[in-house]
Amino acid sequence: MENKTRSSAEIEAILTSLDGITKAEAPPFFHTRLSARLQRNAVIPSSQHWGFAFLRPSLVTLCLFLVLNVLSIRAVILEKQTSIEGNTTSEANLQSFSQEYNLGVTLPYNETSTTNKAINHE
Amino acid sequence: MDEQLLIQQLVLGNQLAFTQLVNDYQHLVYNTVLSVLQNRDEAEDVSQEVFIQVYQSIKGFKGESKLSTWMYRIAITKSLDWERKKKRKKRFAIIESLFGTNNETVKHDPAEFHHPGVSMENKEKATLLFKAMAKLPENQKVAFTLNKVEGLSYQDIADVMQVTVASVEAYLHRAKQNLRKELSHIYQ
Repeated sequence: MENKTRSSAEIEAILTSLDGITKAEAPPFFHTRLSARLQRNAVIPSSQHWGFAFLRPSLVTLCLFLVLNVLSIRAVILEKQTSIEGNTTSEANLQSFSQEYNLGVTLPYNETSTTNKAINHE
Repeated sequence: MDEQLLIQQLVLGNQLAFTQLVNDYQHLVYNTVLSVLQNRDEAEDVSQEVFIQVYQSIKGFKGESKLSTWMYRIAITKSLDWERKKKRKKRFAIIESLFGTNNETVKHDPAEFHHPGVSMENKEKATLLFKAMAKLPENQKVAFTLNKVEGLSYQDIADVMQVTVASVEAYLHRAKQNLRKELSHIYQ
């Protein structure tokens, strides 16, 4: 795209192009259409009732935004709770499995594991 | 009917007085709104809203200014409100189309506006000027439109905009500067 510049004379000619402008006239039957609209407005349309204010796009967007945020925060909290419960459960499962099969799995905090007992006796 | 009598009759709800008001001011209102919005269909809609506003709030008109000043003020306010509403709708439609919730294409305004009151030899230049005017900040656009299209004096513009004459001069000066800047480039 090649940019050229206009001369000052051209710009001034454009700036003065509205000199002598005549007023645009309202379209024909303007008053007739206006009267009809006034008569229609005499009964307040239901869409303008305050109860329908919630349907405005800006309000809908704001509500969606709030709901999404609440759901996201709830999901994060639930996930944290689940992972804590999950860790506790898996450790308990591991212990019961090792006891059942006498595997002597040593857990750092478990001082009564079979392996430790064997070492101590030695 | 003189202005004071007309206002009195309007306050009383006289339908003939309202008809006379529309007949007297419809071209003034339409021309002002058309020059700001640069769209004939929208100008007719907004012009009707101006008269509806007058009909509903004539009782609140204190008569401190001329009736024409009040009509200009409502016309300008309604036009600027319409423009802001249109810009918001366009932004929302673009966001909707990005998320695929709106399958309609985003409508774009016609590229060029031809004011019916411009002489033939100035039509092309006037089209370029109106295009540049559409990009002005609101106050500058209003002052320039009222001065160049409506032919109002600085005092009358100050009364409509409820500012000082010095402010009107400043708006016009800045408007011309911005228009010169905008018009200085031709794109090919």
